[in-house]
Amino acid sequence: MSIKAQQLGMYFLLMALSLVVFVIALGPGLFNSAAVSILSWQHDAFHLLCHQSADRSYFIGGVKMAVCSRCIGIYSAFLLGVLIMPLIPRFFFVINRKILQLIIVAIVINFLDVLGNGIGIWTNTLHSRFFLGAFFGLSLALILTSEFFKQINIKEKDYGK
Amino acid sequence: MESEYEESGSDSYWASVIFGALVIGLIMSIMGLLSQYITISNEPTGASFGIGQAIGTLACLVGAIGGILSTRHYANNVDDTFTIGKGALIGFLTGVVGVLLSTIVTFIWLYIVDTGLTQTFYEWQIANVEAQNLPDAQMEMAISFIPDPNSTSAIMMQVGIGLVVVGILNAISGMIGTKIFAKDED
Repeated sequence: MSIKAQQLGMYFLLMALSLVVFVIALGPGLFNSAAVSILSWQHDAFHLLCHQSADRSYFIGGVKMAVCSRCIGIYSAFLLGVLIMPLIPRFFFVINRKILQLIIVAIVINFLDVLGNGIGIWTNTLHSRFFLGAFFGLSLALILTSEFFKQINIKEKDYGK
Repeated sequence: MESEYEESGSDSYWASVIFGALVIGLIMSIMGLLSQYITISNEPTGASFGIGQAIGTLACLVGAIGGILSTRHYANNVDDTFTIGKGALIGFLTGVVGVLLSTIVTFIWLYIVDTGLTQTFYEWQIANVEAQNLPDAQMEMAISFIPDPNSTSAIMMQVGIGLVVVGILNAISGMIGTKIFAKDED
């Protein structure tokens, strides 16, 4: 079995966009901009997308990231998924229907985590929220794999030669 | 026979863009305003995460799925064999128009319907910081971080940067939506 790369321009665009979002999400602490910790443009960038609560966020260099731990889990795992995308079809047989089910499972688990924490059944942590977010982000990246890197059966490719 | 959508060329995806943008724009506005009303209806206790913020968090989930909504609409109503690039474009435009709509609705509410809400919310945030019993220096710093509701440039800055990031995230969700809802041509 071989791998056929296609639409590489779009793949590199996706990689660049994911990287930009991830770097902005890390917040001003990445650049040692402690003086503008909350009024930074990075925090402005995500104010519509995340509650940005300090006690639910990781810190870099003493400065709160621009997004909460769950969101940084989503963005970092999505970027990781995009970066390793060319390798995935070499080791796994990608079935979109299964990955779609994985995405739904990830959404449901994250929703239940928020609900359970909200009504006091359990208390989630920074790390648990990060990993659940990462599960969702990685599954989102996986569904795009077959768009850019297709598995091709060599016999099928050579058929008719 | 060519469909009416093909005849109208690149304009054909605007109905889907507007659909997705209306959904995310209105929900972001409503949830954002609702979050402020719920927040100010409670006594400031010093807590940094309350029910109001939790409701605001739900809006964030909606803000990023505009691309999925609009590509689904496009696949169901216009053409179900479009490329991932077109899906990204539809998603990006959905995010940008959605943020603009949300900003307009929020501005109308805050400057015409309930002109006192912004100032009340600002004062509530200051009272909430004061309730944390921080040392004076830390308290002054925390209060200085609360955006001044009368600063138009700060608001425009927030909206401008929000346009770019929400646009990018919706471009990515548009790609994912294409993968889910569009059929492969081969």
